[in-house]
Formats: sequence, C-alpha cells, structure tokens
Amino acid sequence: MRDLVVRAVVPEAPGVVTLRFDEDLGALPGQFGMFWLAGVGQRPMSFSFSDGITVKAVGPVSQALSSLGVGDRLSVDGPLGRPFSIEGSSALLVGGGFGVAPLRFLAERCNEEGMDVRTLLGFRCKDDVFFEHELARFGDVYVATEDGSCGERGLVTCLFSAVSGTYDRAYTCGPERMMAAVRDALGGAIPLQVSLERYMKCGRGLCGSCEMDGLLVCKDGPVFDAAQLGPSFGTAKRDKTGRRVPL
Amino acid sequence: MNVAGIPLKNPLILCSGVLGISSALFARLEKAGMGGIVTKSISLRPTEGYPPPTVVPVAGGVLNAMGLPNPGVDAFLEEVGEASLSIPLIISVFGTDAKEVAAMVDRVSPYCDAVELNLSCPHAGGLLAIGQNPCLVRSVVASAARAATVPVVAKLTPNVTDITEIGKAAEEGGADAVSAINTVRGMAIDIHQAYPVLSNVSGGLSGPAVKPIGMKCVWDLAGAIEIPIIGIGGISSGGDVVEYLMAGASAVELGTCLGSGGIEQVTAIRDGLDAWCSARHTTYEALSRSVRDKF
Ligand SMILES: Cc1cc2nc3c(=O)[nH]c(=O)nc-3n(C[C@H](O)[C@H](O)[C@H](O)COP(=O)(O)OP(=O)(O)OC[C@H]3O[C@@H](n4cnc5c(N)ncnc54)[C@H](O)[C@@H]3O)c2cc1C
Ligand SMILES: Cc1cc2nc3c(=O)[nH]c(=O)nc-3n(C[C@H](O)[C@H](O)[C@H](O)COP(=O)(O)O)c2cc1C
Ligand code: FES
Repeated sequence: MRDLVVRAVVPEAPGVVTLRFDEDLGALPGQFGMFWLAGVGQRPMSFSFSDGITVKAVGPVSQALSSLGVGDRLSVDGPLGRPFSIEGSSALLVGGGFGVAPLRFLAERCNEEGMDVRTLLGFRCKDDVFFEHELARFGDVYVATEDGSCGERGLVTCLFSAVSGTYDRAYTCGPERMMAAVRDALGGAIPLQVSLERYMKCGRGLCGSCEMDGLLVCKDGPVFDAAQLGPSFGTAKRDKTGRRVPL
Repeated sequence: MNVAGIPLKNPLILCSGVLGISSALFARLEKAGMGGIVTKSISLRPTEGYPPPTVVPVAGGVLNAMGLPNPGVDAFLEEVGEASLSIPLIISVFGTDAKEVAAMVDRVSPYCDAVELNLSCPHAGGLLAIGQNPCLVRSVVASAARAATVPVVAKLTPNVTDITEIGKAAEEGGADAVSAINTVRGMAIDIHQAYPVLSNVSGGLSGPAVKPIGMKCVWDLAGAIEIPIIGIGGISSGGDVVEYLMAGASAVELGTCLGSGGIEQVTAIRDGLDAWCSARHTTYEALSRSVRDKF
C-alpha cells in the first residue's frame, strides 16, 4: 500500500470528479490501482493521469472517493495490471461513459509519442459528457449522445463513418457491450485493445474473482488484445461468490 | 507418482483458495505444469466473503482475509463438470461441524480424486477453529472418512501449540494424508489512515515469510505420523520444493507465488525441481524424507 494525499479535486460532470494526488505513481495508461478508504472500502480505479483518477459516484466507495477534499488521505495498492501497448503512428480511441477516464491518459501518451490521435466518445446525454476538451488537446474528438443532446445522436459506433480511414491501432474502454460492438464494427481490420472491468477482490492474481475464460483481468489485463478474448467477453462475469452469471 | 492414493503427475499441487474457482483456470494451470489441483474451499451454501481489502501485500508475502467466498456446492459442481483435466482434482470443503463436513464430502466425492478438509474454519458456536482442537479434528476427520469414496486429506493450521498432536488426531480419525500449513494468523495497521488494513481486521499470512514455519511443521509431523504429508507455505522455486521434500513432504502445494510470479511461475518451479533431480540422479520419491531420515 502506498500513502496518498489529495492535492486537487476537479469536477468533470455531475457525479464525476478527478482526484490528483501528491505523488506521481509512475502508472502507465491502462493500469489501475486498488484504492482504499479506511472504514469505507477498496475498489479498482484506472489511472486517468499518472497521478490521478476520475471517479463516477455510483455506490458507497465511489461516492466516498468523490467527496474527498484537498488534504484528505487515502491509500493505494498499485499501479497494477497490463497497460495499453502504444505502437504505430496513428490511433483511434473509442470511449463510453466513465471508460473515457483511462483514454485521456492514453491519448496524452500517444500524443507525446507523436502519434496522430482521433477519439470517439459516447455518452447518454449532454450532462454526462466529460474530458471532451481535455482530449481535444491531443487530437480530433467526436461526440455522440444517445438522446442527441450533444454531438451526433446515437451510440458511439454511429461515429465510425465520420472517421473512416486507416489507423495502426484502435483502443476502447467503456461498457462491455459497447466494446463488443466496437470490435464487431472494426471487424478485425485494425488491431484492437480493450480495457475490461470485473469485480476484483485482490487485484494481484490470487483470488480468481476477476477470471474470464481462464484469463485474469487484474493480472493478464485489464487491457487485452481483442483477439485474445473468449466467449465471456460481453456476456458473462463472476459475482461476489465466484459464480458465473450473465453480464 | 502416487501419494495416499492420489495419482499426481508431479509433486506440485495448486493450494486451496488461490485461483481454484474456474475450470478454465484449472486447465491453464495443468498446462503450466501443475501436477494436481486443490479447489477453493467449498461450503453447502454460497458465501460472498468479506468486502475488500481482503488481500494486502506485506513484507515477505501477503495477508488475506477473504472470508471463504465460494459459489456453494451446487454451482461449484457445475463448474467442475466443465473441466476436462488429466491431473487429479482435489475438492477442498469446509463446514462448521462433523455432520456438515461429512455431508459435503459425500456430495463432492463422485466429482473428484480426493477431498481436502479445510479445518481452519470456526467450529459452530465456538470461537476456536476445528483444527485447533484434537478431539474435534479426530471426530470431523472420522465422519469425513466414513462419507468419502476417495482419499481424504486433512489440512492443518499452524496456529496451535503442537501441530503433531493435531496431525496424530487426523491420522487416528482415518485421514489418508495431511497437508500443512494453512496461513499464519496476522494483521496490519495502516499508519497513514490509522486503521487496520483488512476489512476483517485480522487474517492470515502466506508467502516466503511463512516458509520456515511450514518447514518446521512438516519436519515435526514427519517424526510423528505415518501417513503422507503435503507441504505448504512460501514455496516459490524448485529449490523450495526440494527443501520441503527433504523435510518429509511427499508433495507440496503452491499459492502466493502465483500472484507474485504469475501462472508461468509453475513452469519455472517444475523445471527447477526436475533439473535438480536429474543433476543429482534422484527422483521425487527418493528425495522425500531424505534429510528427515538422518535424524
Ligand atoms: C480495472 C477497473 C478500472 C476501473 N476504473 C474506474 C474508474 O476509472 N472510475 C470509476 O468511477 N470506476 C472505475 N471502476 C469501477 C469501480 O471499481 C467500482 O466498481 C465502482 O466505483 C462502484 O463501486 P462502489 O463501491 O461505489 O459501488 P458498488 O456498491 O460496488 O456498486 C453500486 C452499483 O453500481 C453498479 N456499478 C458499478 N460500477 C458502475 C459504473 N461504473 N457505472 C454504473 N454503475 C456501476 C454496480 O453494479 C452496483 O449495482 C473500475 C473497475 C475496474 C475493475
Ligand atoms: C488469497 C488466499 C486465499 C486462501 N484461501 C484458502 C481457502 O479457501 N482454503 C484453504 O484451505 N486455504 C486457503 N488459503 C491458504 C493457502 O491454501 C495456503 O495454505 C497458504 O497460502 C500458504 O501457502 P503459500 O505461502 O504458498 O501461499 C488461502 C491463501 C491465500 C493467499
Ligand atoms: S482480483 Fe483477485 S485474481 Fe484478479
């Protein structure tokens, strides 16, 4: 465990905040940490900055993390897991919901490597949109919302026609069914990496709770080559008892 | 090799609780070189376990308090049905009294090559673990042995004054083998947040730090009982396996090293062990007790 103190809190959208810490953890894009608040709980969170995370308040732990203020203490086990592999000279990034968080960090690094970066973002509505301007610093950004209140109306895959062309690499993070749709839409034409989420109890390849088709999301992932994934991708997960249930 | 009627491919067995939840992982571990598999400890009903933090790294290993999460015997046997393994599958079971343990053993026997009894679970109504009381160990093992149609391995806790007393009780109860050790009681406080790190406050230590404790338990048991001993605790290299075999173990179980080294670590350990055996022109069986018998 590493000791952290909150250095800055940045509201991104209703219920979404970025926490920046007093220490750079040397994380790579795609890696996560097991963030722990004493007396509340511990959850995996992807790095959206090498010294920060972006949290959406959906339950007890994420709510407590979201209400931290400057100077508050927390702890982290990490950085953990396999990062995105940054290769080639052009990249297509596809994000949905709070899956956009790790893509910000990825876009920043791709940009530093001199890559041409294009990002597609999908949200439910205008209020949910975040990191649009942040990501625009690293390349072109296209937005879609399900209700059409911002950008194109529809799911993120409806933006594909706007950015047709060739890319060396594609990366996606967001709701799993969205990522499965992205994989299907790309049809294997571009090497695709996906960042997955599963219930994690240890984050260290010991408990097996994050297992899918023999892969450990915490240790073999959370970033996988789409071609590596088995039938559980987009369809099945394990609950807290370890039982396999529909996603 | 055959240990207590369990036809192991080699002396390396996956320990209970580490990764042993998925048939796809069993297959991956077999491919990596594991000689046998012990599953997560299974109970009659599903259990969610404790909320995270449940595993925390400490100097020399990890502390864990998972709370024995498992999908319950019915769902787990479905999972086992999907496995097609050519190495033995040993199902670990637990229960709060002799009757419940026997019911579990009866239920899982047709689906496995052996059962391992996790005796580190608190006894119904009592604070102490079953495995800390020789009388309870004798009676629980005896009911399990009566219910079983496959070999029964009794897994011992090191959190006792004299482990040989417990080992003898398991042998008298009719165990075909014992395995030792389960985790060593421990805890940690995070001084930055001024709070115990594990959600359950305390838990069990595993990893390299417990190897000398496991070694001493195996050494002592080898001088006290006749049934085979499976050595557990802090193994992370082929040399560590050799050490346990020399002390009196017939086989070993691996756990925490799979977290630090990944599943590939199994291959490195197996290759290290095999290289050692061929360089010394010896076998797994000949190595077992080779140093213990000098005393
Ligand atoms: C590798 C990895 C990276 C992650 N990165 C981030 C991150 O960068 N930012 C972040 O906010 N979260 C992230 N998460 C999710 C996070 O770990 C928690 O699952 C989430 O914050 C909910 O925890 P909780 O205790 O607040 O709520 P819980 O009580 O655990 O969940 C409350 C309810 O919300 C649902 N839920 C869980 N996650 C979400 C979600 N993301 N959106 C909507 N509903 C949800 C649950 O199914 C449950 O019904 C990541 C998870 C993984 C595995
Ligand atoms: C995360 C974790 C979970 C465990 N769960 C169980 C369990 O369910 N049943 C059991 O008998 N032992 C359990 N153990 C103990 C191990 O089987 C083993 O006895 C102990 O970890 C020592 O071996 P090691 O140092 O190689 O890990 C668990 C250990 C760890 C680290
Ligand atoms: S979270 Fe425990 S193995 Fe991945």
